[in-house]
Amino acid sequence: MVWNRKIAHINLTSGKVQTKKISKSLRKQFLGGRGLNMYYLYQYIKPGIDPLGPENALFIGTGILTGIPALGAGRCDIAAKSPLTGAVGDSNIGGFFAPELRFAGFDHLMVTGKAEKPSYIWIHDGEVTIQDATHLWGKDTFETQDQIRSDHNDEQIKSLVIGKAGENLVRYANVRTGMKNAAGRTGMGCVMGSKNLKAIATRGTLDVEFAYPDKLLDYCSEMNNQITGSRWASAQSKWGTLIIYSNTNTTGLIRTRNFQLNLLEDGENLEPEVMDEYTIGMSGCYGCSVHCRHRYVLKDGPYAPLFGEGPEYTSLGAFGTMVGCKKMETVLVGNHLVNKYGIDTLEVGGIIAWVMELNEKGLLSEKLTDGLNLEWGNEEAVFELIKRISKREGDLGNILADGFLPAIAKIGKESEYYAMQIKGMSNLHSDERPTPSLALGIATSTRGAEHLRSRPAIDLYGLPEELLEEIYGAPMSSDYTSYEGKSRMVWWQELLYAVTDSIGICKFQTVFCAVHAPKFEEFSKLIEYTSALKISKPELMEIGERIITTERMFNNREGFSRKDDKLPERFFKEPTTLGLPIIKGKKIEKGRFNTMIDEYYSLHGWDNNGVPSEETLKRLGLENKYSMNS
Amino acid sequence: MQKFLFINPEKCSGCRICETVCSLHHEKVCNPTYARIQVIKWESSGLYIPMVCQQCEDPICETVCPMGAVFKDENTGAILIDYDLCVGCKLCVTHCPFGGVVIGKDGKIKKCDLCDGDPLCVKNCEPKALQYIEGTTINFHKRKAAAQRFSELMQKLLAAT
Amino acid sequence: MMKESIEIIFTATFREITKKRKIIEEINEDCTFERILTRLVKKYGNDFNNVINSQTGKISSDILIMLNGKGIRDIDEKIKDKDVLIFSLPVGGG
Repeated sequence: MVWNRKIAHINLTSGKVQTKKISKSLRKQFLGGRGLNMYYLYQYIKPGIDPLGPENALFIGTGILTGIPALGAGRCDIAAKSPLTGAVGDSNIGGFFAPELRFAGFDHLMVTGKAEKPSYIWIHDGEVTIQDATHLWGKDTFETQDQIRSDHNDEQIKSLVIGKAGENLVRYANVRTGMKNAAGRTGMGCVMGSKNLKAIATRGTLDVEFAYPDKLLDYCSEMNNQITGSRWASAQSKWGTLIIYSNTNTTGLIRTRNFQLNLLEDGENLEPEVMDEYTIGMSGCYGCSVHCRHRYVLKDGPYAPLFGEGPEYTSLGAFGTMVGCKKMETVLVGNHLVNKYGIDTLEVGGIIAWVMELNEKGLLSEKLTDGLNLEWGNEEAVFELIKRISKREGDLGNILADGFLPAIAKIGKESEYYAMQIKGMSNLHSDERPTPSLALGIATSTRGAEHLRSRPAIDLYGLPEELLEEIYGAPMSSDYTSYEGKSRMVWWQELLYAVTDSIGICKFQTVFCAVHAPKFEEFSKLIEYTSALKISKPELMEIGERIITTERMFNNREGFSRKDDKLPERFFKEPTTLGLPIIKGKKIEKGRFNTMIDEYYSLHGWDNNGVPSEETLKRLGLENKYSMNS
Repeated sequence: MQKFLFINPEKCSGCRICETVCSLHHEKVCNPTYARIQVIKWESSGLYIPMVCQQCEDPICETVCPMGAVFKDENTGAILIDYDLCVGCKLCVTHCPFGGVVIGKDGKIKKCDLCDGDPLCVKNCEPKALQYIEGTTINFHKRKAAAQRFSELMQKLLAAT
Repeated sequence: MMKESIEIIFTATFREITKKRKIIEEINEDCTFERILTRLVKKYGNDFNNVINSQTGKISSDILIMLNGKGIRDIDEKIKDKDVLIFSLPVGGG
């Protein structure tokens, strides 16, 4: 049964490995993946520790559905205390690693301590060993994966690896697998680097037994057919997430030149159709029938020839709209570089856009520019900065490698206003000024500015209010510029994504993209068919609440509270200057925004300062669990 | 008309749903190791090729089988094993040029049986890299795809002149 | 007198069908979304009919039609001079 998958405690300092069972009662409370990771994070990490010290722990978790042939059930959740924000560090990665780990007998890993020399963890059919990685240190993320396969003479090995950025302790270094998959956010690759951990490699041939295999198979087939028959999935299958650009750069929901404009003029070369010229086909993660990323080839130019996967809409913003570049090829090269060095595409794009605006505003001394021409649209400067940050080369590269907050401290207080970050983490290149629900989501997300924690993307679709009420369980406005009922939308999506990340499936195949995509009801059935556990929709929502509240408690313990659930001041001061009539001239109104935060806290059962009440802790069964380290 | 399992690697997205549904259906567990079909990947150049028994017209597994245990299901076209006759010598595994015959968890030999004429891998393959269609249809599809490219070329030439 | 007109923007599948990113359509007084749609069906074929959910008679929830940036569902929505109409699909939410 899925229950026999274990957790391995791996201490890199002592070299000891202990294998333990995961109790069923814990599963019922937190499922797996992100949920269990958050439980472990709160339990094992002492408050106030240095995220780069040996006392930080890295948690890897597959989901309860990992391995099923549907919904992109190959996702893996990686958590630790974030070296970028000091808050919850948590990032989710697709590809093929999670199922392989499950085939090797494990659902969760807890990595503590620090290895004396570069090492990697090797997990093969129930056995866990720590191996020397001296020969891997310095290699990029592609070479590292290839080398491990060749060392073990097995092409089917799947690895989570870090590149140069992780080795150099760039605070937003990511963890990578395959050609493009990345646990991008919150610097989990930096934590690996701090532990001298170059990779976690796995290969498994053990059965994953499900409770009702025939029912599961039928239901997965049904879901695959339903999803691939939908319009949103066929669009994603063809253009990937780049398709979002067609909408946002028409309406004015995109940020360009850092945060100065909300439309990119003459941005036709970034339209998704442009990828036809470079793509050789699409690529899917494990168990995914949507396959949203391109396999692309760049034949000409100084970076050619190169083969890559992606790019995501995020990279289009990072190396396109935010930095004022207007060519798809710039995005393709940027995407390749971040994948190679193992650095978060969004964070690096956000921080480069910021220094470009600082340069324009005269807030960056000439000495600090390090000889770079930081004018908008200069792709060479963008590429050069990706390299310098990843390698911590030069003053600027080194300063920016520490992330927004330390960089603001060094560059000067005035620079803070232009930093589009929350809790020290960069926001996506979306402009949330016209959309209060989206703005609330990025402000309250437990891991910093983030669109994948609670974004109610379907708010943008102007759906009938009856339909919204049916989904969210209370009346609300269908106007995305309204504040009415939007806190509930964010709360509901937050629970949905917490559960999604804990069962190990892809968010794109839930109510993120489309209103008719799978949600709690479908998850209930899948959980039953895989594990025989009967968990109703209200129970699943409660599990979502438990996970989010645990994340809150972790952040509270680290000193975060309502004061940190904020938006950059520009959201309140500068109205949007471009876009369609409903979007132009919009900014967030502080008073109404604060009311939304009050409502959001009360839905979660937290007090006015964003701290879970005793009653809530009791209701969620969290009141005694966490006495250990607090 | 006889149907065939037709593989078009150009369309494969590498998701491995085919492997998983195969193992779930035949072995009742999720374990691609024992699937009859496998996607072979060259990750760093983006090539994905699903490999499975080709249900040969003149099967080598049948030729080398000393027990005469290999036979063809006339309805589905699948080459099957008569387990009453099979002694498990694995000569078929050794000689199949496609790796189409695999050794199961129980040590017995296993191969694609086309799910009795309704292959689940095909049903779940969204990009249609796997198709179970009549031979003449395969030809038509190939001709049409080639003609499409040809017509695009013609249009370009016409536009240029 | 200048004729009244609107801008129609196509993305995703609609861009594939029409092979156009943007068109300008002249309109008369009392124009509605339904009238525009009828014209588009004539011009670009039946794919545009699928925009309407035949059961509800409204714009299908897996289609995103934006009038001046606001998602609309009713086919009798009024269209006036200088409006911008976007034919799109609800995808992601960046």
